Amino acid sequence: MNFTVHVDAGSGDPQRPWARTLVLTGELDHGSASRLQKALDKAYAEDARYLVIDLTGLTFCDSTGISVFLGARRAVAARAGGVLLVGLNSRIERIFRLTGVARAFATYPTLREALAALPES
Amino acid sequence: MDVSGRNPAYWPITDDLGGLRRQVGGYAGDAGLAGVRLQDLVLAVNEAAANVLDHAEGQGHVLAWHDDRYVTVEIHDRLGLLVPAHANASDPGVGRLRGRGLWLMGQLCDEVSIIRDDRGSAVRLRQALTAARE
Repeated sequence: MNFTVHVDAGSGDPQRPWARTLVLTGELDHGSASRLQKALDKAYAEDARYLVIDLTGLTFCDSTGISVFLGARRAVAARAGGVLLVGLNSRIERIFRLTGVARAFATYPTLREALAALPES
Repeated sequence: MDVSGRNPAYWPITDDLGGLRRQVGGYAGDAGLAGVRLQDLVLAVNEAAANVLDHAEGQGHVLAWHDDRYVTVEIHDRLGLLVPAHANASDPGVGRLRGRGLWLMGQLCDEVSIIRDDRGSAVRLRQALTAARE
C-alpha cells in the first residue's frame, strides 16, 4: 500500500501539545483514506486543535481524501482550532481548486511558513 | 456494445483502485492523451469506480476503447442504481463532506453520461484526444 502518514506531536515544539504535524506521502484514495482518518482520530483524542498537514509528498488525492480533509476542518473548527495545508503540488492544487476546497483552507508553500503561522498557545 | 476494432480494454473493479488508475492511465496514454487531460480522466475513472465500491457492492467492471478522436471509458455496475439525471450532479460545496464524485467527473471530462441496460448501469466518460477544453 503506497500511502503513509507520519505524525509529529507538538509540531516540533513540546510547548504546543495542541498541535500536530501530519506528513503524508503516496496516494490518498478510497483504499488509504481510512489510515489518515485513524491518525486524525488519534490526534482529536489527544486534544489536538491545530493540524499542519504536509502534502508535499502526496502524489494523488481523490474525493475520498477531500472528504477527510473537510472532516478534519469541521472537527478542529468545533474546538476553535484550524487546519493548515502545506506544499500542494500542481496535481493536488488542481483537484483542490476544481472542488472549491482550496478556498476552505489556509495553504502554505513550506512547512516552515505553516509552523510560523501557528498561534502562540 | 460492439467495440471490436477500437482497441478495447477490460478491467474488473477491485479494492485496488491504484492498480486500476495505472491500467487506465497506461491505456489512455497509449491512445494519445497526455498531461493534465490524462490525469483528469484517470481521476474521473477512479471516482466512478470508488462509487461502485461504495454503492454497488463492488460489483462492476471498466471498459475502455478509443478511436482517433476520443478515449471513452465506461464504469459499469451490476446494481443499476444510476439514472441519467445523475450526470447533472451539482457542486455539493465544501459544507458537505461526501457526494462530489459525479459532479467532479463533469469537471474533469469532456463528456459524462449515464447509460443503462439489462445488466446494470454505467458512467460513460469521454476525453477528446486533441480538442482544447475551457
